Amino acid sequence: MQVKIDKIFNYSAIGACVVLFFLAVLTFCDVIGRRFFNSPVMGTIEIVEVGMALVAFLAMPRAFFLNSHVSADFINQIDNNLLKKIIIILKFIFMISIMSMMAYATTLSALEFTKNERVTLELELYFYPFFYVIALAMWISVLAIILWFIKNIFNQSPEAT
Amino acid sequence: MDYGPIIDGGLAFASVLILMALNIPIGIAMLVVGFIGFAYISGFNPAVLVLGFAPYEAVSKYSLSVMPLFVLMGNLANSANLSRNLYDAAYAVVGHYKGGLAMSTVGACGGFGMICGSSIATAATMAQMAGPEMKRHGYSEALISGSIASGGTLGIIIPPSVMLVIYAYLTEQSVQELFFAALIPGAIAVVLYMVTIRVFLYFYPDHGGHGEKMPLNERLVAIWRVIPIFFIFAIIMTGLYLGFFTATESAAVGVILVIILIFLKGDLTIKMLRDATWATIRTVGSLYLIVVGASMFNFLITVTQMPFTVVDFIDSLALTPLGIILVICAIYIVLGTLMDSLAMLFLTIPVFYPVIVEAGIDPVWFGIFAVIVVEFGLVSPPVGMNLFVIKGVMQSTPLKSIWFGTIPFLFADMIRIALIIVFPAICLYLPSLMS
Repeated sequence: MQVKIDKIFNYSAIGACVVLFFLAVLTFCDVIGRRFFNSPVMGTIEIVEVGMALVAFLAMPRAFFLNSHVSADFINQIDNNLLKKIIIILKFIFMISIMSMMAYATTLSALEFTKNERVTLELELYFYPFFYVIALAMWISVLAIILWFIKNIFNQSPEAT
Repeated sequence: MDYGPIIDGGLAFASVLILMALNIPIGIAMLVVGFIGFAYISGFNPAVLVLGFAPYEAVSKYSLSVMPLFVLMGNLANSANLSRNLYDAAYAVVGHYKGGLAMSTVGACGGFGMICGSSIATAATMAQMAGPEMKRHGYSEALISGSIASGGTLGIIIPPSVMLVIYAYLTEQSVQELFFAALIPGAIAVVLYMVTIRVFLYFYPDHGGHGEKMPLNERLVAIWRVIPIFFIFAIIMTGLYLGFFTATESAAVGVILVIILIFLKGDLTIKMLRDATWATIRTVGSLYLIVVGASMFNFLITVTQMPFTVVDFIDSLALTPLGIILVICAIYIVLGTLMDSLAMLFLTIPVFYPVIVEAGIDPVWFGIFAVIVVEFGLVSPPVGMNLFVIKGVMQSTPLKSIWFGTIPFLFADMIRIALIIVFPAICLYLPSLMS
Protein backbone atom coordinates (compact mmCIF):
# COMPACT_ATOMS: atom_id res chain seq x y z
CA MET A 1 0.00 0.00 0.00
CA GLN A 2 2.73 2.43 1.06
CA VAL A 3 4.82 1.56 -2.01
CA LYS A 4 1.88 2.52 -4.22
CA ILE A 5 1.43 5.84 -2.42
CA ASP A 6 5.19 6.48 -2.69
CA LYS A 7 4.76 6.46 -6.46
CA ILE A 8 2.59 9.58 -6.26
CA PHE A 9 5.66 11.51 -5.07
CA ASN A 10 7.72 10.11 -7.93
CA TYR A 11 5.03 11.06 -10.45
CA SER A 12 4.94 14.54 -9.00
CA ALA A 13 8.76 14.77 -9.31
CA ILE A 14 8.62 13.44 -12.87
CA GLY A 15 6.09 16.19 -13.64
CA ALA A 16 8.59 18.73 -12.27
CA CYS A 17 11.41 17.20 -14.40
CA VAL A 18 9.32 17.37 -17.57
CA VAL A 19 8.32 21.00 -16.95
CA LEU A 20 11.94 21.95 -16.16
CA PHE A 21 13.27 20.40 -19.36
CA PHE A 22 10.45 21.98 -21.34
CA LEU A 23 11.34 25.40 -19.90
CA ALA A 24 15.04 24.92 -20.72
CA VAL A 25 14.24 24.00 -24.32
CA LEU A 26 11.65 26.77 -24.66
CA THR A 27 14.09 29.42 -23.38
CA PHE A 28 16.85 28.09 -25.66
CA CYS A 29 14.49 28.24 -28.67
CA ASP A 30 13.47 31.76 -27.68
CA VAL A 31 17.12 32.91 -27.63
CA ILE A 32 17.90 31.26 -30.97
CA GLY A 33 14.65 32.53 -32.51
CA ARG A 34 15.14 36.06 -31.27
CA ARG A 35 18.85 36.41 -32.07
CA PHE A 36 19.17 34.49 -35.34
CA PHE A 37 15.72 34.53 -36.92
CA ASN A 38 14.28 37.72 -35.43
CA SER A 39 11.34 35.66 -34.26
CA PRO A 40 11.15 35.17 -30.47
CA VAL A 41 8.76 32.73 -28.86
CA MET A 42 5.88 34.87 -27.61
CA GLY A 43 5.30 34.96 -23.86
CA THR A 44 8.39 32.94 -22.90
CA ILE A 45 8.98 34.94 -19.73
CA GLU A 46 5.41 34.41 -18.58
CA ILE A 47 5.54 30.68 -19.30
CA VAL A 48 8.88 30.39 -17.48
CA GLU A 49 7.47 32.23 -14.43
CA VAL A 50 4.40 30.04 -14.18
CA GLY A 51 6.37 26.92 -15.10
CA MET A 52 8.98 27.49 -12.40
CA ALA A 53 6.22 27.73 -9.80
CA LEU A 54 4.96 24.34 -11.00
CA VAL A 55 8.51 22.92 -10.85
CA ALA A 56 8.99 24.24 -7.31
CA PHE A 57 5.79 22.85 -5.84
CA LEU A 58 5.79 19.57 -7.79
CA ALA A 59 9.36 18.94 -6.59
CA MET A 60 8.48 19.41 -2.92
CA PRO A 61 6.53 16.20 -2.08
CA ARG A 62 9.46 13.93 -2.93
CA ALA A 63 11.83 16.17 -0.98
CA PHE A 64 9.50 15.92 2.04
CA PHE A 65 9.17 12.15 1.70
CA LEU A 66 12.97 11.68 1.42
CA ASN A 67 13.52 14.26 4.16
CA SER A 68 16.03 16.08 1.96
CA HIS A 69 15.09 19.57 3.11
CA VAL A 70 17.95 21.65 4.47
CA SER A 71 18.12 21.49 8.27
CA ALA A 72 20.68 22.63 10.81
CA ASP A 73 23.09 19.98 12.06
CA PHE A 74 23.14 20.81 15.75
CA ILE A 75 21.69 17.53 17.02
CA ASN A 76 22.57 15.06 14.33
CA GLN A 77 24.83 13.01 16.51
CA ILE A 78 22.35 12.27 19.32
CA ASP A 79 22.14 8.64 20.30
CA ASN A 80 19.05 8.72 22.49
CA ASN A 81 16.13 7.08 20.68
CA LEU A 82 13.49 8.75 22.84
CA LEU A 83 14.93 12.19 22.11
CA LYS A 84 15.04 11.34 18.40
CA LYS A 85 11.36 10.37 18.49
CA ILE A 86 10.43 13.59 20.30
CA ILE A 87 12.27 15.57 17.61
CA ILE A 88 10.48 13.66 14.87
CA ILE A 89 7.10 14.36 16.51
CA LEU A 90 7.93 18.07 16.87
CA LYS A 91 9.14 18.23 13.29
CA PHE A 92 5.97 16.50 12.12
CA ILE A 93 3.69 18.88 14.01
CA PHE A 94 5.37 21.97 12.56
CA MET A 95 5.61 20.62 9.02
CA ILE A 96 2.07 19.25 8.83
CA SER A 97 0.50 22.36 10.37
CA ILE A 98 2.13 24.93 8.12
CA MET A 99 1.96 22.87 4.92
CA SER A 100 -1.75 22.07 5.48
CA MET A 101 -2.40 25.73 6.14
CA MET A 102 -0.50 26.71 3.00
CA ALA A 103 -2.32 24.08 0.91
CA TYR A 104 -5.65 25.31 2.27
CA ALA A 105 -4.77 28.97 1.59
CA THR A 106 -3.62 28.14 -1.96
CA THR A 107 -6.83 26.19 -2.61
CA LEU A 108 -8.78 29.28 -1.50
CA SER A 109 -6.69 31.40 -3.91
CA ALA A 110 -7.42 28.94 -6.73
CA LEU A 111 -11.17 29.16 -6.01
CA GLU A 112 -10.93 32.95 -5.93
CA PHE A 113 -9.10 33.00 -9.29
CA THR A 114 -11.76 30.71 -10.76
CA LYS A 115 -14.40 33.22 -9.71
CA ASN A 116 -12.66 36.41 -10.85
CA GLU A 117 -11.08 34.81 -13.97
CA ARG A 118 -7.75 36.57 -13.45
CA VAL A 119 -5.33 36.12 -16.35
CA THR A 120 -1.63 36.72 -17.06
CA LEU A 121 -0.69 39.96 -18.80
CA GLU A 122 0.78 38.86 -22.12
CA LEU A 123 -0.67 35.48 -23.05
CA GLU A 124 -3.84 36.00 -20.99
CA LEU A 125 -3.56 32.54 -19.47
CA TYR A 126 -6.02 31.82 -16.66
CA PHE A 127 -4.30 31.63 -13.29
CA TYR A 128 -6.69 29.15 -11.72
CA PRO A 129 -5.58 25.91 -13.45
CA PHE A 130 -2.00 26.53 -12.31
CA PHE A 131 -3.15 27.33 -8.80
CA TYR A 132 -5.17 24.11 -8.67
CA VAL A 133 -2.05 22.15 -9.69
CA ILE A 134 0.03 23.99 -7.09
CA ALA A 135 -2.60 23.40 -4.41
CA LEU A 136 -2.74 19.71 -5.36
CA ALA A 137 1.07 19.49 -5.14
CA MET A 138 0.90 21.03 -1.67
CA TRP A 139 -1.72 18.51 -0.52
CA ILE A 140 0.56 15.76 -1.88
CA SER A 141 3.35 17.29 0.22
CA VAL A 142 1.05 16.99 3.25
CA LEU A 143 0.58 13.31 2.40
CA ALA A 144 4.36 12.93 2.02
CA ILE A 145 4.89 14.42 5.48
CA ILE A 146 2.37 11.98 6.99
CA LEU A 147 4.09 9.00 5.33
CA TRP A 148 7.54 10.24 6.32
CA PHE A 149 6.29 10.48 9.91
CA ILE A 150 4.77 6.98 9.92
CA LYS A 151 7.92 5.54 8.34
CA ASN A 152 10.17 7.13 10.94
CA ILE A 153 8.17 6.97 14.14
CA PHE A 154 7.66 3.19 13.91
CA ASN A 155 11.23 2.58 12.79
CA GLN A 156 13.56 0.98 15.37
CA SER A 157 16.32 3.53 14.72
CA PRO A 158 14.55 6.61 13.37
CA GLU A 159 16.43 9.24 11.40
CA ALA A 160 16.16 12.50 13.25
CA THR A 161 17.31 14.57 10.35
CA MET B 1 14.52 56.02 19.69
CA ASP B 2 11.81 53.32 19.70
CA TYR B 3 13.48 49.91 19.93
CA GLY B 4 10.13 48.04 19.63
CA PRO B 5 10.67 46.97 16.00
CA ILE B 6 14.16 45.68 16.80
CA ILE B 7 12.79 43.67 19.73
CA ASP B 8 9.93 42.28 17.59
CA GLY B 9 12.29 41.39 14.75
CA GLY B 10 14.83 39.98 17.20
CA LEU B 11 12.14 37.73 18.70
CA ALA B 12 11.26 36.51 15.20
CA PHE B 13 14.92 35.72 14.46
CA ALA B 14 15.33 33.99 17.83
CA SER B 15 12.23 31.87 17.16
CA VAL B 16 13.60 30.77 13.77
CA LEU B 17 16.93 29.87 15.37
CA ILE B 18 15.22 27.84 18.12
CA LEU B 19 13.16 25.90 15.56
CA MET B 20 16.28 25.32 13.47
CA ALA B 21 18.07 24.04 16.55
CA LEU B 22 15.24 21.52 16.96
CA ASN B 23 16.07 20.19 13.49
CA ILE B 24 13.01 21.73 11.82
CA PRO B 25 13.82 22.34 8.13
CA ILE B 26 14.95 25.94 7.63
CA GLY B 27 12.15 26.72 5.15
CA ILE B 28 9.50 25.38 7.50
CA ALA B 29 10.97 27.30 10.47
CA MET B 30 10.79 30.58 8.53
CA LEU B 31 7.29 29.78 7.24
CA VAL B 32 5.95 28.99 10.71
CA VAL B 33 7.44 32.07 12.37
CA GLY B 34 6.52 34.30 9.42
CA PHE B 35 2.91 33.11 9.38
CA ILE B 36 2.33 33.20 13.15
CA GLY B 37 4.07 36.57 13.50
CA PHE B 38 2.17 38.10 10.60
CA ALA B 39 -1.14 36.70 11.91
CA TYR B 40 -0.36 38.15 15.36
CA ILE B 41 0.34 41.62 13.96
CA SER B 42 -2.14 41.84 11.07
CA GLY B 43 -4.81 39.26 11.92
CA PHE B 44 -5.47 35.65 10.94
CA ASN B 45 -7.44 36.26 7.74
CA PRO B 46 -4.88 38.61 6.14
CA ALA B 47 -2.18 36.06 7.04
CA VAL B 48 -4.09 33.25 5.28
CA LEU B 49 -4.57 35.53 2.29
CA VAL B 50 -0.82 36.21 2.12
CA LEU B 51 -0.03 32.51 2.61
CA GLY B 52 -2.24 31.69 -0.36
CA PHE B 53 -0.41 33.93 -2.78
CA ALA B 54 3.04 34.88 -1.43
CA PRO B 55 4.62 31.43 -2.04
CA TYR B 56 3.59 31.56 -5.71
CA GLU B 57 4.85 35.14 -6.03
CA ALA B 58 8.16 34.15 -4.45
CA VAL B 59 8.97 31.16 -6.65
CA SER B 60 7.61 32.52 -9.92
CA LYS B 61 10.02 35.46 -10.12
CA TYR B 62 11.80 35.33 -13.46
CA SER B 63 15.13 36.30 -11.90
CA LEU B 64 15.04 33.17 -9.72
CA SER B 65 14.32 30.78 -12.59
CA VAL B 66 18.04 30.81 -13.36
CA MET B 67 18.67 28.74 -10.23
CA PRO B 68 17.12 25.34 -11.16
CA LEU B 69 18.60 25.59 -14.64
CA PHE B 70 22.14 26.10 -13.34
CA VAL B 71 21.61 23.30 -10.81
CA LEU B 72 20.50 21.06 -13.70
CA MET B 73 23.56 22.07 -15.72
CA GLY B 74 25.88 21.16 -12.83
CA ASN B 75 24.16 17.83 -12.23
CA LEU B 76 24.31 16.93 -15.93
CA ALA B 77 28.04 17.71 -15.96
CA ASN B 78 28.50 15.67 -12.80
CA SER B 79 26.56 12.64 -14.08
CA ALA B 80 28.58 12.71 -17.30
CA ASN B 81 31.86 12.65 -15.32
CA LEU B 82 33.03 15.99 -16.67
CA SER B 83 34.47 16.63 -13.21
CA ARG B 84 36.87 13.71 -13.81
CA ASN B 85 38.13 15.39 -16.99
CA LEU B 86 38.70 18.61 -15.07
CA TYR B 87 40.63 16.81 -12.37
CA ASP B 88 42.76 15.00 -14.96
CA ALA B 89 43.54 18.29 -16.72
CA ALA B 90 44.50 20.02 -13.48
CA TYR B 91 46.63 17.00 -12.56
CA ALA B 92 48.36 17.15 -15.94
CA VAL B 93 49.38 20.75 -15.26
CA VAL B 94 50.39 20.74 -11.57
CA GLY B 95 50.09 17.12 -10.37
CA HIS B 96 53.82 16.38 -10.40
CA TYR B 97 54.76 19.28 -8.10
CA LYS B 98 55.00 18.89 -4.32
CA GLY B 99 51.38 19.12 -3.14
CA GLY B 100 50.35 18.89 -6.76
CA LEU B 101 47.40 16.59 -6.15
CA ALA B 102 45.91 18.96 -3.60
CA MET B 103 46.50 21.83 -6.02
CA SER B 104 44.89 19.77 -8.81
CA THR B 105 41.87 19.32 -6.55
CA VAL B 106 41.60 23.08 -5.99
CA GLY B 107 42.04 23.69 -9.74
CA ALA B 108 39.41 21.09 -10.60
CA CYS B 109 37.05 22.63 -8.01
CA GLY B 110 37.53 26.00 -9.71
CA GLY B 111 36.84 24.43 -13.10
CA PHE B 112 33.82 22.57 -11.80
CA GLY B 113 32.57 25.83 -10.26
CA MET B 114 32.28 27.17 -13.82
CA ILE B 115 29.49 24.70 -14.57
CA CYS B 116 28.15 23.98 -11.09
CA GLY B 117 26.80 26.67 -8.79
CA SER B 118 26.76 24.69 -5.58
CA SER B 119 29.51 24.41 -3.01
CA ILE B 120 28.21 21.20 -1.48
CA ALA B 121 27.91 19.49 -4.87
CA THR B 122 31.46 20.56 -5.74
CA ALA B 123 32.86 19.35 -2.40
CA ALA B 124 30.96 16.04 -2.57
CA THR B 125 32.06 15.36 -6.16
CA MET B 126 35.71 16.12 -5.43
CA ALA B 127 35.72 14.18 -2.16
CA GLN B 128 34.65 11.04 -4.03
CA MET B 129 37.14 11.52 -6.84
CA ALA B 130 40.24 13.26 -5.48
CA GLY B 131 40.11 11.88 -1.91
CA PRO B 132 41.15 8.27 -2.71
CA GLU B 133 43.73 9.50 -5.25
CA MET B 134 45.47 11.74 -2.71
CA LYS B 135 45.31 9.03 -0.05
CA ARG B 136 47.05 6.64 -2.46
CA HIS B 137 49.89 9.15 -2.87
CA GLY B 138 50.38 9.46 0.88
CA TYR B 139 48.66 12.78 1.53
CA SER B 140 47.53 13.38 5.12
CA GLU B 141 43.84 13.29 5.93
CA ALA B 142 44.10 16.91 7.08
CA LEU B 143 45.43 18.19 3.76
CA ILE B 144 43.00 16.03 1.76
CA SER B 145 39.96 17.26 3.64
CA GLY B 146 41.19 20.86 3.90
CA SER B 147 41.84 21.19 0.17
CA ILE B 148 38.52 19.57 -0.79
CA ALA B 149 36.41 21.49 1.75
CA SER B 150 37.95 24.83 0.79
CA GLY B 151 38.10 24.02 -2.92
CA GLY B 152 34.39 23.16 -2.70
CA THR B 153 33.58 26.72 -1.67
CA LEU B 154 34.80 27.87 -5.09
CA GLY B 155 31.53 26.43 -6.43
CA ILE B 156 29.55 29.28 -4.89
CA ILE B 157 31.82 32.17 -5.82
CA ILE B 158 32.87 31.28 -9.37
CA PRO B 159 29.93 32.01 -11.67
CA PRO B 160 27.37 30.64 -12.22
CA SER B 161 26.69 30.72 -8.49
CA VAL B 162 23.40 29.79 -6.81
CA MET B 163 24.28 32.03 -3.85
CA LEU B 164 24.77 35.06 -6.08
CA VAL B 165 21.45 34.33 -7.80
CA ILE B 166 19.77 34.26 -4.39
CA TYR B 167 21.47 37.50 -3.36
CA ALA B 168 20.35 39.10 -6.63
CA TYR B 169 16.81 37.84 -5.99
CA LEU B 170 16.74 39.20 -2.44
CA THR B 171 18.16 42.61 -3.34
CA GLU B 172 16.93 42.99 -6.93
CA GLN B 173 20.48 43.44 -8.20
CA SER B 174 21.64 42.37 -11.66
CA VAL B 175 22.75 38.71 -11.78
CA GLN B 176 25.04 39.55 -14.70
CA GLU B 177 26.90 42.24 -12.75
CA LEU B 178 27.28 39.95 -9.75
CA PHE B 179 28.65 37.13 -11.90
CA PHE B 180 31.28 39.43 -13.40
CA ALA B 181 32.10 40.92 -10.01
CA ALA B 182 32.81 37.40 -8.72
CA LEU B 183 35.27 36.43 -11.45
CA ILE B 184 38.43 38.07 -10.06
CA PRO B 185 37.77 37.14 -6.39
CA GLY B 186 37.15 33.57 -7.57
CA ALA B 187 40.47 33.49 -9.45
CA ILE B 188 42.24 35.01 -6.44
CA ALA B 189 40.77 32.25 -4.27
CA VAL B 190 42.17 29.54 -6.55
CA VAL B 191 45.64 31.12 -6.45
CA LEU B 192 45.55 31.72 -2.68
CA TYR B 193 44.43 28.14 -1.95
CA MET B 194 47.27 26.78 -4.09
CA VAL B 195 49.79 29.03 -2.32
CA THR B 196 48.35 27.87 1.01
CA ILE B 197 48.99 24.26 0.06
CA ARG B 198 52.62 25.02 -0.75
CA VAL B 199 53.10 27.01 2.46
CA PHE B 200 51.41 24.27 4.51
CA LEU B 201 53.72 21.66 3.01
CA TYR B 202 56.73 23.88 3.67
CA PHE B 203 55.96 23.70 7.40
CA TYR B 204 54.57 20.13 7.37
CA PRO B 205 56.45 18.35 4.56
CA ASP B 206 55.18 14.91 5.63
CA HIS B 207 51.56 15.79 4.86
CA GLY B 208 51.82 15.46 1.09
CA GLY B 209 53.87 14.24 -1.80
CA HIS B 210 53.73 14.57 -5.55
CA GLY B 211 52.23 12.55 -8.39
CA GLU B 212 53.97 11.04 -11.38
CA LYS B 213 54.89 13.41 -14.21
CA MET B 214 52.76 12.64 -17.27
CA PRO B 215 54.31 12.51 -20.76
CA LEU B 216 53.67 15.68 -22.78
CA ASN B 217 51.23 14.09 -25.24
CA GLU B 218 49.08 12.69 -22.39
CA ARG B 219 49.10 16.10 -20.76
CA LEU B 220 47.91 17.76 -23.94
CA VAL B 221 45.14 15.19 -24.37
CA ALA B 222 43.97 15.77 -20.78
CA ILE B 223 43.90 19.53 -21.35
CA TRP B 224 42.19 19.12 -24.74
CA ARG B 225 39.34 17.21 -23.09
CA VAL B 226 38.34 20.18 -20.92
CA ILE B 227 38.40 22.77 -23.70
CA PRO B 228 34.65 22.28 -24.38
CA ILE B 229 33.86 23.03 -20.72
CA PHE B 230 35.80 26.30 -20.91
CA PHE B 231 34.07 26.96 -24.23
CA ILE B 232 30.61 26.61 -22.63
CA PHE B 233 31.68 28.87 -19.76
CA ALA B 234 33.03 31.40 -22.28
CA ILE B 235 29.75 31.35 -24.25
CA ILE B 236 27.73 31.95 -21.08
CA MET B 237 29.92 34.78 -19.81
CA THR B 238 30.38 36.44 -23.22
CA GLY B 239 26.66 36.23 -23.91
CA LEU B 240 25.95 37.87 -20.56
CA TYR B 241 28.66 40.50 -21.09
CA LEU B 242 27.39 41.50 -24.52
CA GLY B 243 23.77 41.46 -23.37
CA PHE B 244 23.11 38.73 -25.89
CA PHE B 245 20.98 36.94 -23.34
CA THR B 246 19.73 37.28 -19.76
CA ALA B 247 20.97 35.15 -16.86
CA THR B 248 18.03 32.74 -17.17
CA GLU B 249 18.59 32.42 -20.90
CA SER B 250 22.30 31.81 -20.33
CA ALA B 251 21.42 28.98 -17.94
CA ALA B 252 19.07 27.41 -20.50
CA VAL B 253 21.74 27.75 -23.19
CA GLY B 254 24.25 26.18 -20.77
CA VAL B 255 21.92 23.20 -20.12
CA ILE B 256 21.44 22.55 -23.84
CA LEU B 257 25.17 22.98 -24.60
CA VAL B 258 26.16 20.56 -21.83
CA ILE B 259 23.64 18.02 -23.19
CA ILE B 260 25.10 18.47 -26.70
CA LEU B 261 28.64 18.06 -25.30
CA ILE B 262 27.69 14.86 -23.45
CA PHE B 263 25.97 13.58 -26.61
CA LEU B 264 29.09 14.29 -28.68
CA LYS B 265 31.20 12.44 -26.09
CA GLY B 266 28.87 9.47 -26.56
CA ASP B 267 27.90 9.44 -22.87
CA LEU B 268 24.27 10.55 -23.22
CA THR B 269 22.08 7.81 -21.79
CA ILE B 270 18.60 7.73 -20.32
CA LYS B 271 20.05 6.63 -16.98
CA MET B 272 22.47 9.58 -16.95
CA LEU B 273 19.68 12.05 -17.77
CA ARG B 274 17.42 10.46 -15.14
CA ASP B 275 20.10 10.64 -12.43
CA ALA B 276 20.87 14.26 -13.22
CA THR B 277 17.23 15.40 -13.25
CA TRP B 278 16.39 13.37 -10.14
CA ALA B 279 19.25 15.03 -8.25
CA THR B 280 18.17 18.43 -9.59
CA ILE B 281 14.56 18.01 -8.54
CA ARG B 282 15.65 16.95 -5.07
CA THR B 283 17.83 20.07 -4.71
CA VAL B 284 15.21 22.34 -6.27
CA GLY B 285 12.49 21.02 -3.94
CA SER B 286 14.54 21.85 -0.87
CA LEU B 287 15.85 25.20 -2.17
CA TYR B 288 12.41 26.44 -3.13
CA LEU B 289 10.97 25.54 0.27
CA ILE B 290 13.54 27.94 1.74
CA VAL B 291 12.55 30.58 -0.82
CA VAL B 292 8.88 30.14 0.16
CA GLY B 293 9.73 30.29 3.87
CA ALA B 294 11.91 33.36 3.38
CA SER B 295 9.14 35.17 1.48
CA MET B 296 6.73 34.71 4.40
CA PHE B 297 9.39 35.58 6.96
CA ASN B 298 10.32 38.73 5.05
CA PHE B 299 6.66 39.81 5.12
CA LEU B 300 6.87 39.63 8.90
CA ILE B 301 10.20 41.45 9.07
CA THR B 302 8.78 44.19 6.84
CA VAL B 303 5.65 44.70 8.95
CA THR B 304 7.74 44.89 12.12
CA GLN B 305 9.71 47.70 10.40
CA MET B 306 12.86 46.20 11.84
CA PRO B 307 15.16 46.98 8.84
CA PHE B 308 14.35 50.72 9.01
CA THR B 309 14.89 50.83 12.76
CA VAL B 310 18.21 49.01 12.37
CA VAL B 311 19.23 51.63 9.79
CA ASP B 312 18.33 54.42 12.26
CA PHE B 313 20.16 52.59 15.04
CA ILE B 314 23.33 52.20 12.95
CA ASP B 315 23.04 55.87 11.96
CA SER B 316 22.90 56.84 15.61
CA LEU B 317 26.14 54.91 16.23
CA ALA B 318 27.85 57.07 13.56
CA LEU B 319 29.84 54.08 12.27
CA THR B 320 31.99 54.48 9.17
CA PRO B 321 31.24 52.17 6.21
CA LEU B 322 34.35 50.16 7.17
CA GLY B 323 33.05 49.86 10.72
CA ILE B 324 29.69 48.61 9.41
CA ILE B 325 31.42 46.06 7.18
CA LEU B 326 33.57 44.80 10.06
CA VAL B 327 30.51 44.44 12.32
CA ILE B 328 28.63 42.54 9.57
CA CYS B 329 31.71 40.41 8.95
CA ALA B 330 31.93 39.49 12.65
CA ILE B 331 28.21 38.62 12.73
CA TYR B 332 28.57 36.40 9.65
CA ILE B 333 31.61 34.60 11.04
CA VAL B 334 29.81 33.85 14.31
CA LEU B 335 26.62 32.77 12.50
CA GLY B 336 28.67 30.77 10.00
CA THR B 337 29.94 28.43 12.65
CA LEU B 338 26.35 27.63 13.66
CA MET B 339 24.10 28.05 10.65
CA ASP B 340 23.68 26.85 7.11
CA SER B 341 24.89 29.31 4.47
CA LEU B 342 21.54 29.57 2.68
CA ALA B 343 19.70 30.29 5.90
CA MET B 344 22.29 32.91 6.77
CA LEU B 345 21.81 34.71 3.47
CA PHE B 346 18.01 34.53 3.56
CA LEU B 347 17.79 35.67 7.18
CA THR B 348 20.37 38.44 7.18
CA ILE B 349 20.27 40.12 3.77
CA PRO B 350 16.81 41.73 4.25
CA VAL B 351 18.16 43.39 7.42
CA PHE B 352 21.72 44.17 6.30
CA TYR B 353 20.87 45.36 2.81
CA PRO B 354 19.10 48.63 3.80
CA VAL B 355 21.96 49.33 6.21
CA ILE B 356 24.68 49.02 3.56
CA VAL B 357 22.67 51.00 1.01
CA GLU B 358 22.19 53.78 3.57
CA ALA B 359 25.93 53.74 4.31
CA GLY B 360 26.72 54.19 0.61
CA ILE B 361 28.31 50.74 0.18
CA ASP B 362 28.04 49.33 -3.33
CA PRO B 363 25.39 46.53 -3.31
CA VAL B 364 27.26 44.50 -5.95
CA TRP B 365 30.46 44.65 -3.90
CA PHE B 366 28.51 43.72 -0.78
CA GLY B 367 27.01 40.71 -2.58
CA ILE B 368 30.47 39.33 -3.31
CA PHE B 369 31.65 40.15 0.20
CA ALA B 370 28.62 38.45 1.76
CA VAL B 371 29.03 35.30 -0.33
CA ILE B 372 32.76 35.09 0.50
CA VAL B 373 32.08 35.48 4.22
CA VAL B 374 29.27 32.91 4.00
CA GLU B 375 31.76 30.62 2.23
CA PHE B 376 34.05 31.14 5.18
CA GLY B 377 31.22 29.82 7.37
CA LEU B 378 30.96 26.70 5.22
CA VAL B 379 34.45 25.61 6.24
CA SER B 380 34.54 27.05 9.76
CA PRO B 381 34.70 24.51 12.55
CA PRO B 382 32.72 23.18 14.32
CA VAL B 383 29.70 22.89 11.99
CA GLY B 384 30.71 24.22 8.57
CA MET B 385 28.49 22.38 6.08
CA ASN B 386 31.37 21.35 3.77
CA LEU B 387 33.17 19.70 6.67
CA PHE B 388 30.21 17.39 7.19
CA VAL B 389 29.95 16.68 3.48
CA ILE B 390 33.58 15.54 3.52
CA LYS B 391 32.97 13.55 6.69
CA GLY B 392 29.99 11.89 4.97
CA VAL B 393 32.06 10.82 1.96
CA MET B 394 35.35 10.04 3.80
CA GLN B 395 33.84 8.41 6.86
CA SER B 396 37.08 7.01 8.27
CA THR B 397 38.60 10.52 8.55
CA PRO B 398 38.24 11.91 12.08
CA LEU B 399 36.45 15.26 12.32
CA LYS B 400 39.48 16.62 14.21
CA SER B 401 41.73 16.05 11.15
CA ILE B 402 39.17 17.76 8.92
CA TRP B 403 39.09 20.78 11.24
CA PHE B 404 42.88 20.95 11.39
CA GLY B 405 43.12 20.73 7.61
CA THR B 406 40.79 23.67 6.99
CA ILE B 407 42.54 26.12 9.32
CA PRO B 408 45.30 27.18 6.84
CA PHE B 409 42.65 27.77 4.19
CA LEU B 410 40.69 29.97 6.59
CA PHE B 411 43.77 32.22 6.75
CA ALA B 412 43.77 32.37 2.94
CA ASP B 413 40.09 33.39 3.05
CA MET B 414 40.88 36.11 5.60
CA ILE B 415 43.53 37.50 3.25
CA ARG B 416 41.01 37.48 0.41
CA ILE B 417 38.37 39.24 2.52
CA ALA B 418 40.96 41.87 3.52
CA LEU B 419 41.97 42.31 -0.13
CA ILE B 420 38.44 42.99 -1.34
CA ILE B 421 37.80 45.39 1.54
CA VAL B 422 41.00 47.34 0.83
CA PHE B 423 40.68 47.12 -2.96
CA PRO B 424 36.95 47.13 -3.85
CA ALA B 425 37.95 47.37 -7.52
CA ILE B 426 38.75 43.64 -7.37
CA CYS B 427 34.98 43.17 -7.44
CA LEU B 428 33.83 46.30 -9.18
CA TYR B 429 36.24 46.62 -12.12
CA LEU B 430 34.62 44.05 -14.45
CA PRO B 431 31.01 45.19 -13.78
CA SER B 432 32.11 48.76 -14.48
CA LEU B 433 33.24 47.67 -17.95
CA MET B 434 29.75 46.29 -18.58
CA SER B 435 28.01 49.59 -17.96
